[in-house]
Amino acid sequence: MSAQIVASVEEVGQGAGTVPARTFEEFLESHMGQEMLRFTTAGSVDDGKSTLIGRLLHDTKSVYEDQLAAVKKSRVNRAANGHVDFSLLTDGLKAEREQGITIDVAYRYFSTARRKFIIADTPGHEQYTRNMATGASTADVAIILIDANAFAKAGVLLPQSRRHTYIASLLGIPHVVAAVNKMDLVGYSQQSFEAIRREFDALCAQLGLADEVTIPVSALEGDNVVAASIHMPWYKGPTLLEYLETVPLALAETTGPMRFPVQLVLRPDANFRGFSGQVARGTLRAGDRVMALPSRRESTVRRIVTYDGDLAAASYPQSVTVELEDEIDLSRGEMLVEADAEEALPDVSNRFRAMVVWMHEEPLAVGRTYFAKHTTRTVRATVRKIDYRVDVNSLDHLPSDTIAMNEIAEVEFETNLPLFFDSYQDCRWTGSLILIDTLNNATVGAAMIVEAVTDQASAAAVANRYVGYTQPTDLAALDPGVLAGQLRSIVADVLPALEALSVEAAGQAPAPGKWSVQQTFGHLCDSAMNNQQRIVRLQLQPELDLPGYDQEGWVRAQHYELLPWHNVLALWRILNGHLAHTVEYVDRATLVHVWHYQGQSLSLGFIIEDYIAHLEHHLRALHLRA
Amino acid sequence: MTTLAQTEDEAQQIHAARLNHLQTLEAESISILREAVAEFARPVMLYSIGKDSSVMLRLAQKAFYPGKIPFPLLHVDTSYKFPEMIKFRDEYTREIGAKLIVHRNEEAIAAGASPYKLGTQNCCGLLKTRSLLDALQEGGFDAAFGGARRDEEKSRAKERVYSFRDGAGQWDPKSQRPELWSLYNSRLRKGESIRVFPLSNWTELDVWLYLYAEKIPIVPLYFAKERPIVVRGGALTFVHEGMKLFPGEKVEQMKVRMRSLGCAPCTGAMRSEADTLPSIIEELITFRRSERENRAIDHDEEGSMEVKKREGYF
Ligand SMILES: Nc1nc2c(ncn2[C@@H]2O[C@H](COP(=O)(O)OP(=O)(O)OP(=O)(O)O)[C@@H](O)[C@H]2O)c(=O)[nH]1
Ligand SMILES: [Mg+2]
Repeated sequence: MSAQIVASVEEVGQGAGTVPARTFEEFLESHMGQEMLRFTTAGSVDDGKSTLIGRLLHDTKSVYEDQLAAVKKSRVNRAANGHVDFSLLTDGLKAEREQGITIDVAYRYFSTARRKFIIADTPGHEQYTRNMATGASTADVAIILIDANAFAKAGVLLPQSRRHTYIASLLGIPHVVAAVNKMDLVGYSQQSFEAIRREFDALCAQLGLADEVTIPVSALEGDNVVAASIHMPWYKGPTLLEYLETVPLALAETTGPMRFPVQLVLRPDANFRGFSGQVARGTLRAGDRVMALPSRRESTVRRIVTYDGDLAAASYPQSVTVELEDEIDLSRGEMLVEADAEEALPDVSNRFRAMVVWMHEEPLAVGRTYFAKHTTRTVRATVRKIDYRVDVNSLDHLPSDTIAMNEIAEVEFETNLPLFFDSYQDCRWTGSLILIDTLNNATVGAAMIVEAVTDQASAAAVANRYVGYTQPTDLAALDPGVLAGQLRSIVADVLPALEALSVEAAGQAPAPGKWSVQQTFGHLCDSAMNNQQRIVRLQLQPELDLPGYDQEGWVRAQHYELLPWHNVLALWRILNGHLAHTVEYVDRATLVHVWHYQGQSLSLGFIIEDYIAHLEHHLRALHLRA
Repeated sequence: MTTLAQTEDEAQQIHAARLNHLQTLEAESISILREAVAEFARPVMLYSIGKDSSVMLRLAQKAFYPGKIPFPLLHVDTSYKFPEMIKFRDEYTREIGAKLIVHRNEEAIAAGASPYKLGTQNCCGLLKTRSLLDALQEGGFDAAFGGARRDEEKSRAKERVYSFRDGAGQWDPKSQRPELWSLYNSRLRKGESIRVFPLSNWTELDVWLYLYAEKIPIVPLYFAKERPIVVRGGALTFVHEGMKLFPGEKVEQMKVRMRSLGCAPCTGAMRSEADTLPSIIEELITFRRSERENRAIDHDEEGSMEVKKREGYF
């Protein structure tokens, strides 16, 4: 077991410049302690992405003999100068080998003494942009390939190189490196390289990509991939592998306010109730005060449970199970965050704008509704507006009503239930979502949240049906107890004047065809009865499809005008007393439940506030209240 | 998105917080298992008794601890598995309290299906692929966890974590759903299903390192031992109970082990001295051939694995 394996460890190509492990145990230790870096390739079709990855695998001795032999034997070979066609190591589909292009992402793996790498080799063909985005979404580093020979001919960067650099910047890949490939075809010329570097620098500056490096390589000949090039003595920077081994890993997710989306509630027996999930950012500690969203109930972390024993703390991206001190209502799709840190809370909103990469033949259109999966929560998201579409060449913003496949746009969404999110720039895990077609279930788009929509334009349109009333700004801050109190005091306030009203005055219509006071209070009874239904039902189910009611028709059908005035008034008082009682005990967590009504999604919180606003509107009209 | 540590202390804290690669892989796999259990109505785990299944099973124990694994294990038994595998399967699943379903294509087995009679492709088609699809349908399972890894073979390198299968259980590599971040699309129509691969990003070396670090039991056939062997079609074939020898075949004793476990007639052994996990790992990093090399089925034709996968084989 303690055999000396120095030779074999080096033979596997464990990178240059490190001290090889001395004993096997030491090797195991160091190997298990390695960190992981994920990178992706990007660029135009035939720039040499797959060849570069094949070369990287080959030169780090990560390719098995039998796999190499199979590639050498293959009927297809597109490589020049009698070279092995390394692209065949990653182009694993039959159709890819036949057509000589990459169609879907290939994931490959290799390690050196310094790091373990996960590679996503993505297609350059525009038609398969969705697969490029798939590979790039989890990357720490993007290698953008630029074909030096194609550049020499065109004099500009190809549109696809620009598009992929733009997508890499949108996806927030922390580091971008340009590999200027096929240097062998331009005589390893420094001038050619510098011309490309200037163009690429300009593009990165335009996109706000700060951390960017350019390396001249030949994937075919192996220059500057693993070993330094003998053909380009003028280049003094790192080889591609050196760069990948040393680039600092981004820390955005390990720091920052904690986010813990609940994946699963574990209840193996009556004594244990745990919330399982993966820490999406920051650190969760036993003893921490935490807040559940959307209910805003607080508790303390009692234990962080794992199969390997309890933990004192869990950080991004650990998967753990959390036990809380209090029995608070919390389920899948909800989130634990730090309590006592109002400024560190995520946005809680059902309206936001996001950058969307569209991935389906059928275009995205205003007014359409999709499923949106965000952390562990799936909701319905309706496209309210397309702010602009991006021209990937000029990066100009263009007006548009639809977004075609492979296009990128800023889109405003409204969801039926609120999401708890950060901007994608702040946190990849809580700022990203996928869009799913509600009929064929295809994944049709990827969205990166820019910000919550705070201008109340469309919410106000729903809310302002009654004078002076505005939509609650913060559902999570609504307190059912306070609302119940409001309702009781309104009733108590107007009751004396109403009791003093004569039967004649109550029964008199102010104008032909208008309701008398008695009929108006009949209508207010109907309002109470209908809202009683909504408020009770919405506590029992998250979504409700229930018809509205025809206000005039109800008043007519119940012949309120024929009842004694004091009976109508007593009914109204009793109905509101019971409604206030019901509201007082509404579970806060259900305030986000929604009633689907005439294409709108009205939350329980809104319905309660709206009921009170509606009542006040009528009382004001009768000059009973200011 | 790069945040730089402001102080030495902070830098150290961040370093301590960062997981190593095995911990990162473990966290990702556990999350995949939980997500699928949360979203699918009837998940099942395909349990092949091999080393990858052993890792996957341990990850499932971890994912639902302190609860039990909330889905059954399904073993598709071709009747050609090594007796050691069956013994291990029964003992180990009983020990951890997992529910086990064993499915066999009895009709084909009774009709004498064998790789010698039918060729490896047809034999696999009947005893593995057909049998698996039947078992999934019978059980009404809408999601099946598999232990396949992308580093095994180049068509597997193309597969998603959630691999969508149409009503006939088939994979269409040209129209896979985009899979961004760790947001998996689990929506299905009736009859469709999804294969979920929690070990997608693990390499063979990761699996062995994890088996070692976690002290996970595996079938003894993985460890080198003197065993009776015949050389058949260039491969070292382990002579097990009930196996018929062809004329002219001579049994020899050799110290061998299995690098991956399939059916006895189609899984070649390799000469080896490695009889402990560390020595296997040591052998692995000096070894220059892929683990599936000793499996007959991958060599039938170029792209044969892709063909099998399209048909529904794992
Ligand atoms: N001369 C020369 N040819 C190269 C070099 N790198 C790649 N090629 C050739 O360029 C062609 C395309 O290479 P691939 O690796 O398939 O390109 P790709 O970028 O992966 O293409 P897609 O994935 O389809 O977008 C092949 O014929 C390669 O042999 C290089 O450095 N020099
Ligand atoms: Mg390619």
